[in-house]
Amino acid sequence: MGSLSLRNLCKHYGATEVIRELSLDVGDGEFVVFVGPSGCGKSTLIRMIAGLEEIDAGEVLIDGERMNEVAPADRGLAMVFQSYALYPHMTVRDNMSFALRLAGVSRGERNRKAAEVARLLHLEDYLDHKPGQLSGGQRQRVAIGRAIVRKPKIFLFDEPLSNLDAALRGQMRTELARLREAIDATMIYVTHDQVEAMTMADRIVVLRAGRIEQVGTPLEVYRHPVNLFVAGFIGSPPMNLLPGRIEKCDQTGVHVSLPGNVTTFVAATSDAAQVHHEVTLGIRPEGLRPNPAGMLRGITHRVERLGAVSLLHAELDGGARVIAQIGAIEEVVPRQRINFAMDPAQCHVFDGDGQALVPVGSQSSEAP
Amino acid sequence: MRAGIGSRAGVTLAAWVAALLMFFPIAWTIITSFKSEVEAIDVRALLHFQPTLVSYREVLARAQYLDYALNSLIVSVGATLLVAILAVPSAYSMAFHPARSTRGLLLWMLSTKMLPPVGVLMPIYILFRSVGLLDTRSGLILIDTLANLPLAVWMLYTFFKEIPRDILEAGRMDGARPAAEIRHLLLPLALPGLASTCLLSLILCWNEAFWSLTLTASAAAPLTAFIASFSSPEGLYFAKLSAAATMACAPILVLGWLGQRRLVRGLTFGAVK
Repeated sequence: MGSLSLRNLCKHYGATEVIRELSLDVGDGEFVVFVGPSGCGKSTLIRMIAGLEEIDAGEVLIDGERMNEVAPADRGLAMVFQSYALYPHMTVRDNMSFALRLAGVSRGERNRKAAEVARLLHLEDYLDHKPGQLSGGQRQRVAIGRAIVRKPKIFLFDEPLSNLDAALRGQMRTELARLREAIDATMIYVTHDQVEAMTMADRIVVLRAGRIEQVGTPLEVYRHPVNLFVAGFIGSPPMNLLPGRIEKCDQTGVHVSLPGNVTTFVAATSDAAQVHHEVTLGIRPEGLRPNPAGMLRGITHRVERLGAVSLLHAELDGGARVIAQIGAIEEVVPRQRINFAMDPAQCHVFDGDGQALVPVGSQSSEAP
Repeated sequence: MRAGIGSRAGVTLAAWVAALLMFFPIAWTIITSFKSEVEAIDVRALLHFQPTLVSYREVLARAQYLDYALNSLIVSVGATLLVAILAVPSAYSMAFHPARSTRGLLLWMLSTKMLPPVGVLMPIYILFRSVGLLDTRSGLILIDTLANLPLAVWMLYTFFKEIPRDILEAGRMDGARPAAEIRHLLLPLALPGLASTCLLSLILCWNEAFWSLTLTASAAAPLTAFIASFSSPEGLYFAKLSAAATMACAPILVLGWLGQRRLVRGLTFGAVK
């Protein structure tokens, strides 16, 4: 196991800044997921940690030691690539033990370790196969096995499941979680799939344009997004965002007026919040319920049946489109007037700059 | 796809015509080599003749075929080895660690092939004479290496470019330094490309005539010089010339035939993705 610290990391390609002044601490044994849209720099960041990209400024520390000039193999890391990057001309056994071979470990010892890891990953029957003879899931396991054999301090995963189909991805997620318990190592995981991020991470790092937007546990990030970007990015379907205006504000919270002459109270505030400020009110689909007594009025569009729950798409008076989560078999007729009630506890308010107002009486998650 | 079938037949026909046209001189040479000198220039004996080995016997009696063949073998294999040893690291560095000047360098290397060899005949001849390389195998190996290096670097560069970067990066994460990377990952993965590059270099060296004829006399003369020695100004000896040419071509023809699948893949590599 090992700890990782990133200190003011910078990286640019030509005039394009890919990583900007990024700092982060990852504790021993922690599972941290970098998540963000494509082009946010998450893959570049993990490659900088791995030593495959040069660091323009700042420092990468592993267990407190500066690694900027240390060769990738000497950093005590192992990496699993999106494309698996197996050696096509070597057997599964040789793939997994290649690092040991380069390190001068004897053949017997190498084979013993490869067999041990193969047992952990259910690959015993494939040790003499070449990667071309394996399925996608098996190749992925070989790639993971190749990383485990080296007993690294920190595992790096660069979108390892994105080439797998949905069913296999779910299965591999479970396997990774099981594996993590078995080998008990620090893991850094890059993905654009928020389900992977939410289900596996101890802490999620949300990135945008080379900067950290928020760091927190999956639930913190989901329940207390610090800004509009995080609110919109984490959660599927995304948070509903409605334009509003502050009508009244005090220490207990703000009264926000919404289109259609609706005013709601949200127990969140900030020093900058003032009456008449334009704000955005955010509410998750599960916080919005069809309710004849509800204040938000609109017209139903269509229902997506997901099995366990259904998603109701509707257009509010004033033009905003929203999605509400309803029961699996709840009947909804399209093109009908409908009223929604909002759960005030699940409402978020974002100021004109997109920053969230801090919920009153709750601790906010760590902002960069 | 009726039109498709028609046009495919057309392409096949065109390919056969082109192939037969290219093969015709070789077939003609081989046929002539089995004629007597009289039949060789007799138009009526085009295909009706009594096959004879007399030309081969005379050729072997007049010249030391094996000496020439040995020179060809040593020069071709030597130059090809040297080409491989120099081209692999250069293509590796250009493909995986390109600098700002890499593209220009590649084009410049290719541009040296655009100059007709005769344009540098005088300086090279004088240089060889001053350093005592005239009529030596090492001299011929040197000039063949220099002549084939640009092509070999280009071919290997293209092959290396096709190797997924991830695989080499995985190797680096596993602790492979450049030498180990080349030995354990790059060369095994680029083996078909390396083989076709070497085969092509071998063929080009074997058939190289210009420098062989101008820079060698007897001691280091390869098979191309052997053929040339039978085209004498005193008379036409087509049958003997053909026999000599057939004997000179035969080894490389067989090698090319054996390696044709690799060679075809090598030459069209990168063109069709």
